[in-house]
Amino acid sequence: MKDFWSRHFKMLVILLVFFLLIISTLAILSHYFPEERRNIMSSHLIQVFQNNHGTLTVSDVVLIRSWMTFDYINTLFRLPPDYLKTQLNITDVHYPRISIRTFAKNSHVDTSVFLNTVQEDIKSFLSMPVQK
Amino acid sequence: MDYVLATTLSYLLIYKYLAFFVLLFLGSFILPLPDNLILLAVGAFASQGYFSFFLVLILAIITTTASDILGYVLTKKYEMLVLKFLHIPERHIKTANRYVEDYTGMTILVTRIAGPFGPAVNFIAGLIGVPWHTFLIYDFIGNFVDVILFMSAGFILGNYWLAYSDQISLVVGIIGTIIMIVFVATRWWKKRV
Repeated sequence: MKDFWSRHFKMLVILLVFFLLIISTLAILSHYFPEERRNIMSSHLIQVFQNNHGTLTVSDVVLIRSWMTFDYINTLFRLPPDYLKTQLNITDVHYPRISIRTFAKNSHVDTSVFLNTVQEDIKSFLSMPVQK
Repeated sequence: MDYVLATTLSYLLIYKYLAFFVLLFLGSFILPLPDNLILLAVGAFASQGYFSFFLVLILAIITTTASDILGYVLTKKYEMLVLKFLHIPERHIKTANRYVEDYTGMTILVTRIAGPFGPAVNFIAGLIGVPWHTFLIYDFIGNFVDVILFMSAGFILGNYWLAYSDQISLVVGIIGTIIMIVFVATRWWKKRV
């Protein structure tokens, strides 16, 4: 172990110094340029982050892919657990933990056609007025 | 999308943590699976509430380190038999051998993050007798950086991770290539001098 530290000491010190340098540079910049830090925090970066994690809308149904499971799609679009099951008359016992592609294949339906149907049903749900 | 990646993602969504462990273990050990894209995807799934971010983070670091150690230990014990049995391409063995001998620490570290030489480097490290603590420390640091990098990128990209997955793979591939070129140039320069 002693031999390891003597041989690799230089490399590990360089890695540690590099890491500390980055952290301290960020801390110093943040301290001496508070205005710039506030601008960055409230600007594009944060908005992009918020957009990337916002509630998905009708225009986001294009994100759905055939490898996705119904369970995942329900989580993504905040659908009621049995909505797609009812709309698409799914009787497969594996629902909702089955992918669109596998279900389409088992049902002898074209995958892209079925994917389209799923997207349309989700669009219909998202377009419904919210009941208070 | 690539059929292998699409199937991998389906299994991840169906079997969650178990699939994540198995796929990452096999990908790090020997199979040519898109490990970094899996980490990116799981980071995104975690941001959407489908996985627990910290749980998969810890699981990823443990899994990748464990599979790398397995590769290292196997060749340390059974030497060339392992390489022949696993049909590791000759050119991967020669390349990995050269770099592991000359730049042990950096080679182990960099191949955790970019390039296809990770498994070959694990086997070569065991074969040529790299000390276990040297291998473990650089392997752990490399895996830690790799997992944090890709999972955080996936978490930040969130719902739109798929749109950027190709660009991210390209950038990492370029960085890995640049690092390898620097190594080759340094080696050539040293020989010249």
